[in-house]
Amino acid sequence: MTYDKSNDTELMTRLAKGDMAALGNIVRRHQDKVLSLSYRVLRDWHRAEDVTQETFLRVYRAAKHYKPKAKFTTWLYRIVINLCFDEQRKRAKAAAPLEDANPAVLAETDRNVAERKEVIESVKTAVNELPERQRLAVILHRYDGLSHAEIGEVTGWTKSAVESLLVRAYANLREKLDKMKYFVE
Amino acid sequence: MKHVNDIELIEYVAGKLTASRNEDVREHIAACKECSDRWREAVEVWNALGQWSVDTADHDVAQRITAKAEEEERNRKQHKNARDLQIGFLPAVVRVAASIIIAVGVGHKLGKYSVTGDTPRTAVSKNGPEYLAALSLEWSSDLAWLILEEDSPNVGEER
Repeated sequence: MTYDKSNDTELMTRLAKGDMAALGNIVRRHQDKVLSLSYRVLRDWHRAEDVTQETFLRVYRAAKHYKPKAKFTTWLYRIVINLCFDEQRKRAKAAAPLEDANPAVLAETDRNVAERKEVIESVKTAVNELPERQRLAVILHRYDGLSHAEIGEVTGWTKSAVESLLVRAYANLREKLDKMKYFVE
Repeated sequence: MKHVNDIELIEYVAGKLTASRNEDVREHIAACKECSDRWREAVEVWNALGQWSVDTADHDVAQRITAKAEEEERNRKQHKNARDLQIGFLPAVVRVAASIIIAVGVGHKLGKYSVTGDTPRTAVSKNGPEYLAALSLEWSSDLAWLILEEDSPNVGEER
Protein backbone atom coordinates (compact mmCIF):
# COMPACT_ATOMS: atom_id res chain seq x y z
CA MET A 1 0.00 0.00 0.00
CA THR A 2 1.37 3.41 -0.90
CA TYR A 3 1.05 6.32 1.47
CA ASP A 4 0.68 9.93 0.56
CA LYS A 5 3.84 11.80 1.56
CA SER A 6 1.96 14.92 2.56
CA ASN A 7 2.13 15.69 6.25
CA ASP A 8 -0.99 15.58 8.42
CA THR A 9 -1.59 19.32 8.27
CA GLU A 10 -1.44 19.30 4.47
CA LEU A 11 -3.84 16.38 4.36
CA MET A 12 -6.21 18.25 6.67
CA THR A 13 -6.06 21.30 4.38
CA ARG A 14 -6.93 19.12 1.40
CA LEU A 15 -9.72 17.46 3.34
CA ALA A 16 -11.13 20.87 4.25
CA LYS A 17 -11.37 21.56 0.50
CA GLY A 18 -13.42 18.41 0.03
CA ASP A 19 -10.67 16.01 -1.06
CA MET A 20 -12.00 12.74 0.35
CA ALA A 21 -8.85 10.89 -0.70
CA ALA A 22 -7.02 12.91 1.95
CA LEU A 23 -9.30 11.41 4.59
CA GLY A 24 -8.44 7.94 3.31
CA ASN A 25 -4.75 8.75 3.73
CA ILE A 26 -5.24 10.09 7.24
CA VAL A 27 -7.22 7.01 8.23
CA ARG A 28 -4.70 4.55 6.78
CA ARG A 29 -1.84 6.42 8.42
CA HIS A 30 -3.34 6.54 11.93
CA GLN A 31 -5.98 3.84 12.24
CA ASP A 32 -3.65 1.25 13.81
CA LYS A 33 -2.62 3.66 16.55
CA VAL A 34 -6.19 4.75 17.18
CA LEU A 35 -7.47 1.17 17.17
CA SER A 36 -4.71 -0.06 19.52
CA LEU A 37 -5.21 2.81 21.92
CA SER A 38 -8.98 2.48 22.03
CA TYR A 39 -8.76 -1.31 22.36
CA ARG A 40 -6.30 -1.08 25.25
CA VAL A 41 -8.49 1.47 26.99
CA LEU A 42 -11.85 -0.17 26.30
CA ARG A 43 -10.76 -3.85 26.16
CA ASP A 44 -13.39 -4.56 23.55
CA TRP A 45 -12.81 -4.75 19.80
CA HIS A 46 -16.33 -3.87 18.83
CA ARG A 47 -16.30 -0.67 20.88
CA ALA A 48 -12.74 0.08 19.79
CA GLU A 49 -13.82 -0.07 16.14
CA ASP A 50 -16.78 2.20 16.84
CA VAL A 51 -14.54 4.70 18.62
CA THR A 52 -12.03 4.56 15.75
CA GLN A 53 -14.77 5.22 13.20
CA GLU A 54 -16.22 8.10 15.20
CA THR A 55 -12.75 9.58 15.76
CA PHE A 56 -12.04 9.86 12.04
CA LEU A 57 -15.55 11.11 11.29
CA ARG A 58 -14.94 13.88 13.81
CA VAL A 59 -11.63 14.63 12.12
CA TYR A 60 -13.49 14.87 8.80
CA ARG A 61 -16.22 17.12 10.25
CA ALA A 62 -13.67 19.37 11.96
CA ALA A 63 -11.39 19.67 8.92
CA LYS A 64 -12.83 23.02 7.81
CA HIS A 65 -12.13 24.57 11.21
CA TYR A 66 -8.88 22.75 11.94
CA LYS A 67 -6.02 24.98 13.05
CA PRO A 68 -2.72 23.22 13.68
CA LYS A 69 -2.03 24.62 17.15
CA ALA A 70 -0.74 21.33 18.58
CA LYS A 71 0.69 18.21 16.98
CA PHE A 72 -1.95 16.48 14.86
CA THR A 73 -1.53 13.22 16.77
CA THR A 74 -2.02 14.99 20.11
CA TRP A 75 -5.30 16.43 18.82
CA LEU A 76 -6.27 13.03 17.40
CA TYR A 77 -5.51 11.26 20.69
CA ARG A 78 -7.56 13.84 22.57
CA ILE A 79 -10.56 12.92 20.41
CA VAL A 80 -9.92 9.20 20.99
CA ILE A 81 -9.58 9.60 24.75
CA ASN A 82 -12.72 11.73 25.00
CA LEU A 83 -14.68 9.15 23.02
CA CYS A 84 -13.25 6.36 25.18
CA PHE A 85 -14.32 8.27 28.30
CA ASP A 86 -17.83 8.56 26.81
CA GLU A 87 -17.85 4.84 26.02
CA GLN A 88 -16.73 3.97 29.54
CA ARG A 89 -19.46 6.13 31.01
CA LYS A 90 -22.01 4.41 28.76
CA ARG A 91 -20.63 1.02 29.69
CA ALA A 92 -20.70 1.85 33.38
CA LYS A 93 -24.39 2.71 33.03
CA ALA A 94 -25.20 -0.39 31.01
CA ALA A 95 -22.86 -2.61 33.07
CA ALA A 96 -22.03 -4.64 29.97
CA PRO A 97 -19.68 -7.58 30.46
CA LEU A 98 -16.13 -7.07 29.28
CA GLU A 99 -14.84 -9.05 26.37
CA ASP A 100 -11.74 -9.91 28.35
CA ALA A 101 -13.75 -11.10 31.33
CA ASN A 102 -14.17 -14.44 29.58
CA PRO A 103 -10.81 -15.16 28.01
CA ALA A 104 -10.95 -17.79 25.34
CA VAL A 105 -9.58 -21.17 26.21
CA LEU A 106 -6.16 -21.61 24.72
CA ALA A 107 -6.45 -24.01 21.86
CA GLU A 108 -2.78 -23.85 20.99
CA THR A 109 -0.80 -26.93 21.79
CA ASP A 110 2.57 -25.40 21.25
CA ARG A 111 4.03 -24.81 24.68
CA ASN A 112 5.97 -21.65 23.76
CA VAL A 113 2.89 -20.07 22.26
CA ALA A 114 0.88 -21.01 25.34
CA GLU A 115 3.50 -19.56 27.66
CA ARG A 116 3.72 -16.42 25.65
CA LYS A 117 -0.04 -16.06 25.77
CA GLU A 118 0.10 -16.56 29.49
CA VAL A 119 2.66 -13.82 29.84
CA ILE A 120 0.57 -11.47 27.73
CA GLU A 121 -2.51 -12.32 29.78
CA SER A 122 -0.58 -11.54 32.99
CA VAL A 123 0.49 -8.19 31.63
CA LYS A 124 -3.00 -7.37 30.37
CA THR A 125 -4.48 -8.32 33.72
CA ALA A 126 -1.92 -6.25 35.61
CA VAL A 127 -2.58 -3.20 33.41
CA ASN A 128 -6.33 -3.63 33.48
CA GLU A 129 -6.39 -3.91 37.26
CA LEU A 130 -4.78 -0.51 37.68
CA PRO A 131 -6.98 2.38 38.79
CA GLU A 132 -8.50 4.03 35.73
CA ARG A 133 -6.32 7.15 35.55
CA GLN A 134 -3.11 5.21 36.19
CA ARG A 135 -4.11 2.72 33.50
CA LEU A 136 -4.72 5.45 30.95
CA ALA A 137 -1.46 7.23 31.84
CA VAL A 138 0.53 3.99 31.38
CA ILE A 139 -1.17 3.14 28.10
CA LEU A 140 -0.44 6.56 26.64
CA HIS A 141 3.11 6.54 27.98
CA ARG A 142 4.20 2.97 27.33
CA TYR A 143 2.25 2.08 24.20
CA ASP A 144 1.74 5.38 22.47
CA GLY A 145 5.04 6.97 23.46
CA LEU A 146 3.52 10.23 24.64
CA SER A 147 5.56 12.56 26.83
CA HIS A 148 4.21 13.79 30.18
CA ALA A 149 3.23 17.10 28.64
CA GLU A 150 1.45 15.37 25.76
CA ILE A 151 -0.44 13.08 28.14
CA GLY A 152 -1.46 16.21 30.02
CA GLU A 153 -2.70 17.82 26.78
CA VAL A 154 -4.62 14.73 25.73
CA THR A 155 -6.29 14.09 29.08
CA GLY A 156 -6.50 17.60 30.51
CA TRP A 157 -4.46 16.61 33.59
CA THR A 158 -1.59 18.71 34.90
CA LYS A 159 1.99 17.63 34.22
CA SER A 160 2.62 16.95 37.90
CA ALA A 161 -0.57 14.87 38.10
CA VAL A 162 0.59 12.85 35.09
CA GLU A 163 4.02 12.27 36.65
CA SER A 164 2.51 11.21 39.93
CA LEU A 165 0.11 8.82 38.15
CA LEU A 166 2.95 7.29 36.14
CA VAL A 167 5.16 6.73 39.18
CA ARG A 168 2.32 5.05 41.09
CA ALA A 169 1.23 3.07 38.04
CA TYR A 170 4.67 1.60 37.34
CA ALA A 171 5.14 0.80 41.04
CA ASN A 172 1.76 -0.95 41.12
CA LEU A 173 2.59 -2.88 37.97
CA ARG A 174 5.84 -4.07 39.47
CA GLU A 175 3.96 -5.30 42.52
CA LYS A 176 1.20 -7.00 40.52
CA LEU A 177 3.60 -8.73 38.14
CA ASP A 178 5.65 -9.89 41.11
CA LYS A 179 2.56 -11.46 42.66
CA MET A 180 1.78 -13.21 39.39
CA LYS A 181 5.29 -14.64 39.49
CA TYR A 182 5.89 -13.04 36.16
CA PHE A 183 9.46 -12.20 37.02
CA VAL A 184 11.71 -15.22 37.34
CA GLU A 185 14.24 -14.72 40.12
CA MET B 1 25.29 12.62 43.82
CA LYS B 2 21.53 12.60 44.50
CA HIS B 3 19.68 9.40 43.62
CA VAL B 4 17.73 9.38 40.39
CA ASN B 5 14.12 10.24 41.13
CA ASP B 6 11.28 7.90 40.13
CA ILE B 7 9.93 9.85 37.18
CA GLU B 8 13.40 10.45 35.79
CA LEU B 9 14.13 6.75 36.07
CA ILE B 10 10.96 5.96 34.13
CA GLU B 11 11.97 8.43 31.42
CA TYR B 12 15.48 7.02 31.34
CA VAL B 13 14.09 3.54 30.74
CA ALA B 14 11.71 4.94 28.10
CA GLY B 15 14.69 6.62 26.39
CA LYS B 16 13.15 10.05 26.63
CA LEU B 17 15.79 11.99 28.54
CA THR B 18 17.96 14.55 26.81
CA ALA B 19 21.38 13.27 25.75
CA SER B 20 23.23 15.10 28.52
CA ARG B 21 20.79 14.10 31.26
CA ASN B 22 20.78 10.55 29.93
CA GLU B 23 24.55 10.40 30.35
CA ASP B 24 24.39 11.74 33.92
CA VAL B 25 21.81 9.15 34.91
CA ARG B 26 23.71 6.35 33.23
CA GLU B 27 26.86 7.26 35.15
CA HIS B 28 24.98 7.46 38.41
CA ILE B 29 23.34 4.08 37.91
CA ALA B 30 26.72 2.53 37.15
CA ALA B 31 28.05 3.84 40.43
CA CYS B 32 25.03 3.44 42.72
CA LYS B 33 23.85 -0.04 43.73
CA GLU B 34 20.46 1.17 44.95
CA CYS B 35 19.64 3.03 41.75
CA SER B 36 21.03 0.17 39.69
CA ASP B 37 18.54 -2.21 41.36
CA ARG B 38 15.67 0.20 40.85
CA TRP B 39 16.67 0.60 37.21
CA ARG B 40 16.71 -3.18 36.68
CA GLU B 41 13.23 -3.47 38.11
CA ALA B 42 11.98 -0.63 35.97
CA VAL B 43 13.43 -2.26 32.85
CA GLU B 44 11.71 -5.55 33.74
CA VAL B 45 8.35 -3.86 34.04
CA TRP B 46 8.95 -1.90 30.84
CA ASN B 47 9.86 -5.04 28.89
CA ALA B 48 6.99 -7.03 30.39
CA LEU B 49 4.53 -4.37 29.26
CA GLY B 50 6.09 -4.52 25.81
CA GLN B 51 4.87 -8.11 25.47
CA TRP B 52 1.32 -6.89 25.11
CA SER B 53 1.10 -6.04 21.46
CA VAL B 54 -2.23 -5.43 19.81
CA ASP B 55 -2.81 -6.96 16.41
CA THR B 56 -5.15 -4.72 14.46
CA ALA B 57 -4.85 -6.63 11.17
CA ASP B 58 -8.35 -8.13 11.46
CA HIS B 59 -9.89 -4.80 12.27
CA ASP B 60 -9.43 -2.66 9.18
CA VAL B 61 -12.04 0.04 9.48
CA ALA B 62 -10.64 2.40 6.85
CA GLN B 63 -13.21 1.49 4.20
CA ARG B 64 -16.06 1.74 6.65
CA ILE B 65 -14.91 5.20 7.71
CA THR B 66 -14.40 6.60 4.22
CA ALA B 67 -17.74 5.16 3.05
CA LYS B 68 -19.50 6.76 6.00
CA ALA B 69 -17.75 10.10 5.44
CA GLU B 70 -18.62 10.05 1.74
CA GLU B 71 -22.24 9.37 2.63
CA GLU B 72 -22.17 12.34 5.01
CA GLU B 73 -20.60 14.47 2.27
CA ARG B 74 -23.34 13.48 -0.20
CA ASN B 75 -26.06 14.24 2.38
CA ARG B 76 -24.43 17.57 3.16
CA LYS B 77 -24.33 18.48 -0.54
CA GLN B 78 -27.97 17.46 -1.05
CA HIS B 79 -28.98 19.50 1.95
CA LYS B 80 -26.97 22.46 0.65
CA ASN B 81 -28.58 22.18 -2.79
CA ALA B 82 -32.05 22.10 -1.28
CA ARG B 83 -31.23 25.16 0.80
CA ASP B 84 -29.76 26.95 -2.23
CA LEU B 85 -32.95 26.16 -4.13
CA GLN B 86 -35.04 27.64 -1.35
CA ILE B 87 -32.81 30.70 -1.26
CA GLY B 88 -33.11 30.92 -5.09
CA PHE B 89 -36.90 31.22 -4.81
CA LEU B 90 -36.68 33.97 -2.25
CA PRO B 91 -35.97 36.93 -4.63
CA ALA B 92 -38.91 35.91 -6.86
CA VAL B 93 -41.21 35.70 -3.85
CA VAL B 94 -39.98 39.08 -2.60
CA ARG B 95 -40.52 40.62 -6.07
CA VAL B 96 -44.10 39.33 -6.25
CA ALA B 97 -44.86 40.47 -2.70
CA ALA B 98 -43.38 43.90 -3.44
CA SER B 99 -45.46 44.20 -6.63
CA ILE B 100 -48.63 43.39 -4.71
CA ILE B 101 -47.81 45.91 -1.98
CA ILE B 102 -47.05 48.60 -4.55
CA ALA B 103 -50.23 47.83 -6.52
CA VAL B 104 -52.39 47.99 -3.39
CA GLY B 105 -50.67 51.18 -2.25
CA VAL B 106 -51.06 52.89 -5.62
CA GLY B 107 -54.67 51.72 -5.87
CA HIS B 108 -55.40 53.15 -2.44
CA LYS B 109 -53.80 56.49 -3.29
CA LEU B 110 -55.62 56.74 -6.59
CA GLY B 111 -58.90 55.99 -4.87
CA LYS B 112 -58.37 58.60 -2.18
CA TYR B 113 -57.11 61.43 -4.38
CA SER B 114 -58.81 61.57 -7.72
CA VAL B 115 -56.55 62.27 -10.65
CA THR B 116 -59.28 64.44 -12.18
CA GLY B 117 -59.33 66.72 -9.18
CA ASP B 118 -62.82 65.67 -8.02
CA THR B 119 -62.96 64.59 -4.43
CA PRO B 120 -65.02 61.49 -4.00
CA ARG B 121 -68.50 62.23 -2.80
CA THR B 122 -69.91 61.00 0.38
CA ALA B 123 -73.56 61.22 1.12
CA VAL B 124 -73.86 64.12 3.50
CA SER B 125 -77.06 65.66 4.71
CA LYS B 126 -77.15 69.39 4.72
CA ASN B 127 -78.71 69.75 8.11
CA GLY B 128 -78.39 66.51 9.97
CA PRO B 129 -75.53 64.58 11.42
CA GLU B 130 -73.41 62.64 8.91
CA TYR B 131 -74.22 59.27 10.38
CA LEU B 132 -77.83 59.71 9.26
CA ALA B 133 -76.63 60.11 5.73
CA ALA B 134 -74.48 57.04 6.20
CA LEU B 135 -77.65 55.14 7.07
CA SER B 136 -79.41 56.71 4.05
CA LEU B 137 -81.87 58.48 6.31
CA GLU B 138 -83.22 61.94 5.72
CA TRP B 139 -83.22 64.48 8.52
CA SER B 140 -86.98 64.57 8.43
CA SER B 141 -87.73 60.86 8.25
CA ASP B 142 -89.51 59.08 11.11
CA LEU B 143 -86.71 56.65 11.64
CA ALA B 144 -84.22 59.53 11.95
CA TRP B 145 -86.15 60.94 14.85
CA LEU B 146 -85.99 57.68 16.66
CA ILE B 147 -82.22 57.63 16.31
CA LEU B 148 -81.83 61.25 17.26
CA GLU B 149 -84.11 61.03 20.24
CA GLU B 150 -81.39 60.25 22.74
CA ASP B 151 -79.07 62.91 21.31
CA SER B 152 -81.53 65.73 21.71
CA PRO B 153 -84.72 65.27 23.69
CA ASN B 154 -86.08 68.64 22.58
CA VAL B 155 -85.98 67.87 18.94
CA GLY B 156 -89.18 65.86 19.06
CA GLU B 157 -91.09 68.80 20.41
CA GLU B 158 -90.12 70.97 17.52
CA ARG B 159 -91.64 68.46 15.21
